[in-house]
Amino acid sequence: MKKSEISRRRFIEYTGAAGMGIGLSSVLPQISLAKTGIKVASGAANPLGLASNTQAEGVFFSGGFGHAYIEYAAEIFGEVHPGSSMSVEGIQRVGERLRPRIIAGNPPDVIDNSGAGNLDTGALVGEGELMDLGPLMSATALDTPGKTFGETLFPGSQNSGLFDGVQRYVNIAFTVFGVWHSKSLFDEKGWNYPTTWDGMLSLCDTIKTSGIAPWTYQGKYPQYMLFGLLEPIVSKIGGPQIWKDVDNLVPSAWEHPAMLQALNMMKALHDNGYIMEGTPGLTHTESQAEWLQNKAAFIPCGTWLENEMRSITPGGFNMVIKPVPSDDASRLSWIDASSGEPFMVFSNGKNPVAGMEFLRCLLSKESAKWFAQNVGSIMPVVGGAEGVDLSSAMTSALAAVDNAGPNILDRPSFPGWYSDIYSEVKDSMGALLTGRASAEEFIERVQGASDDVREDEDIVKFKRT
Amino acid sequence: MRRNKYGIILPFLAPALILYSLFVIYPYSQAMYVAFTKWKGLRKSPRFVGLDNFEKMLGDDKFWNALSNNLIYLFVLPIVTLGFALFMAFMISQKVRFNNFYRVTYFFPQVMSVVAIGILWSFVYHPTIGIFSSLLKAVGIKNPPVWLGDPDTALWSIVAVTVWQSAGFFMVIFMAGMLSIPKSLYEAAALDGAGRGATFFRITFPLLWENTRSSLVFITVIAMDMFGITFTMTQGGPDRSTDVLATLLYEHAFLHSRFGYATSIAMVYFIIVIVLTLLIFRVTRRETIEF
Amino acid sequence: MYKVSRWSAVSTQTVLVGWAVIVIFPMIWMIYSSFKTDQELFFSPWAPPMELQWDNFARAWTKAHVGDYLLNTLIVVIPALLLTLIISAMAAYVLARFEFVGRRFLFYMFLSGMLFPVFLALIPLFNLVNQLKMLNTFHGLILVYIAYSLPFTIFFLTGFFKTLPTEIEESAIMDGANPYQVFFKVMLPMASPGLISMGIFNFLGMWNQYVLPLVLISDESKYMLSQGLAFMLFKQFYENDWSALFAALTIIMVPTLIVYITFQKQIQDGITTGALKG
Repeated sequence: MKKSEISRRRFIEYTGAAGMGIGLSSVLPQISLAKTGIKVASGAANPLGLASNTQAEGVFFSGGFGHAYIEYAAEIFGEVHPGSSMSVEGIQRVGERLRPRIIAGNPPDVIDNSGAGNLDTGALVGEGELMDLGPLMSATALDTPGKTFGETLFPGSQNSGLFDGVQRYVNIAFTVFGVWHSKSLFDEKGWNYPTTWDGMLSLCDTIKTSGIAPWTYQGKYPQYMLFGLLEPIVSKIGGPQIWKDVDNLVPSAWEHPAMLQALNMMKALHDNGYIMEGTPGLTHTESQAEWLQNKAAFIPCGTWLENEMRSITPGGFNMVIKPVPSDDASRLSWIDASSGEPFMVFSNGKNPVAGMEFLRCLLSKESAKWFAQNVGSIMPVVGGAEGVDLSSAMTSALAAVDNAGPNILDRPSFPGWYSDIYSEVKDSMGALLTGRASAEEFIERVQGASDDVREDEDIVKFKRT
Repeated sequence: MRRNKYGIILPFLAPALILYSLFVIYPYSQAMYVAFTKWKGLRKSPRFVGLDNFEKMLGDDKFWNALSNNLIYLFVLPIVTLGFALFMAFMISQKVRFNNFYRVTYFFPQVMSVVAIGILWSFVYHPTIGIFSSLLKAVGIKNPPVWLGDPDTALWSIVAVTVWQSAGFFMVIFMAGMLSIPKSLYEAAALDGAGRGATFFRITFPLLWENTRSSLVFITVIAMDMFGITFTMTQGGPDRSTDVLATLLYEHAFLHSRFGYATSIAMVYFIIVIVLTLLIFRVTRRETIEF
Repeated sequence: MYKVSRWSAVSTQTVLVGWAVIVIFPMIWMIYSSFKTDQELFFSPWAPPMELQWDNFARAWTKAHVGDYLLNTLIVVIPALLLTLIISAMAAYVLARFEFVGRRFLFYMFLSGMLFPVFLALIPLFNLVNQLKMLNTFHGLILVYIAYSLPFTIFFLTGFFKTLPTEIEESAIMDGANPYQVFFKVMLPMASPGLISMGIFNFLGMWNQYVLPLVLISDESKYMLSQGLAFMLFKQFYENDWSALFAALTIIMVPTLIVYITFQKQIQDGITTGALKG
């Protein structure tokens, strides 16, 4: 198993969540600003050389995290650079909204390219639309004295933004992926989270007899079952090379026996009637709402779930996240965790420097703490959760990462690189989970899409190791 | 007779010509070129590739899938919608009670926005919020289909919404024709002892030729488009079962950044509409068209 | 008239009533559901609300800006509609009543615009509007709406002007009226039934237009109605506010319904005469 660059003890140290955070910041002189209380390290006010009185524009996907945290970062931006400002607009369906502006050569300075209907990242990189963020990575960090911006981020957290060695975007949310359940419900019923997939199936049987559907998933968006189940199960059974081969478009990569085994394990949920009735007709928030009403026991998701559903979560629900079990109980604790929510700066925007400077503010320690406190998730910023009280969901996520120790699983990059393969995976996943496709057919369809991409010389290819 | 004719022709035509050439002709002629290029829809200019896009289309399963869905609509919608509309128009124009109420009610969905209808009906079909599934459960059907979530039912659910929306519109078109049929014809038929069925097939329907032709053209355009309703209800899913050319080309353009290919699909779409329209006019031609 | 049996009359009424219920009920359901809480929406789809949640409407109106979308749509549709009518009538009059070189060509050129799918033009259209610095402006959208309404309106009105008698026009010319006076004082009033038909036809088309503003207006504060509604739908996917979405649908539908019932005769005539000429 590939060792993640965040080792177990280091992780706790990085987040500062368990109260072990080391006060890195007390030695050098700082300037403290009134409104947000951010302490700007000396010589760190303007390393990128932002021109005075810059009025910059940011457009951001507003999804599970909301966009209040971006407004807070814009406040920091305005405070560090009096006279300058960053406007903040929260939107959905980023692609439809922004593509016309990109064609017109009039993109915003900085964007969050996430959510359904976002821009095809592979095409943006291939066409040279995105700024090289190297200068940002090596700039002095805003409120962590003596460090560069890049050094203040979790090691490895920005790897997915590297295209042929150049940093094209930065990820701003550290997300743990897994299977969620209500601790209260499980305690009440006396159910225990299983350690193997066979255990999962027999628990599902028990749950079903009690009148609750064992599983649901984000129906119209079956890709949640890709990152929630398929990715970790395949890695647990077959090791880390499989997803690398998939990303590198190695012929027959999808035909690996572990893939087949994992798909068949998932298909058992449908074959045994464990998936909640009506699931395929629901959107993600609708299926999550059903799950919050205890209509279903398990749902796959990332750690944004808690904030996304905050307004309609019943009191005492106690949601917790667990790693997905596989064939071997000893690998239960291995978990998918990575940084996501890519923020990008356009190379031909009016103020690329302002875009980068904004990201320096957004991923400052002060902003990270605000995010942990108010959004209930964490940024991949060292010490970003110092002294913050975390919810049961986030606590369980951090405990899961802690238990995983060095076994943080690597996630595939093909969804961002090759939208054609990703589309085929979504469609085939829906077909598999509704019994319309066998595991073999899933593999045949997706391998076909992968072969098409490999042979299409107009699609820019990327490599990873 | 008219002196100084161009003194009025030019200024009267100018505003329409300028706006139309600028905002309609110019973009369409650009699009005609884009169909023969590869273009990511970003800043770099389109690259001319001849017929490559059309060649690729021949081997593209998703294209054929979308086209076959359009063909299903083209086949089913005229029969169901027009048949139903004709049937109702005939009944209402028989001076049944409350005929005015029916006419006003049936037509209403036509004035609603497609987006509103799409949203409303996705809730009607919704597995938990929706009234449709719970109605079926109430009458004892244990596992009603997940209408929009199941590829076997999604397309037909959309057909039903389209019929719901447009039947009243076509009914009114047919009624306009029926009202212009002289009463004496009906009276003569009644004297001969013709029943309602015979009256309809021997008198009413043959005299509705013009209305039928217009309706066929309209329903063809609707069946080829289907974008608004599909986009708000299923976005072409699940598993592409409701994908049509319009949603497919939208996906190619805006999701996969293939504007050249998307535009070539739009060209095919355009050609099909033109051919079908001409065909309908040919087949139903009774008199020469003016101009 | 011939006799209709009692049985047949009953079965006819059953079918008609049945279809009326199918048409009306979803809307009634939507209206009363818009007064429910999210919990009630999910757990008792058929039941009426326990108490009226006026707050849903407040959220739809203010937070979701339905009020602004309504106003924006009026600001664009009214001038676009009036200008479409006058510009089309001028062109149609000339095409119908004057013989000149290129007349046929122009007529068919306008006619061809009816057959192009809008999708084909979207991206080039966007580029153009951008170059004219008219993106995110109401006047830009107004001009585009007019341009895309011209083909059908000109086609229809040309046919209409051709059917008008020539005598009145000729006697006006004899009386010494110049061509402008003939058009504005004589022809235009005579064409008013056709103008009303086209006015209604285009009003509904513009009022419900979705694709054009989707591309040309990206500033949320300037959204049109359909666009704003779709935006709410997509936003709802993340914000769990179904009841406000129902309320927004109701806010949009009820005025449409009132206007429709008031003018139903004219609307039906307008749309069907429009459709039949096409």
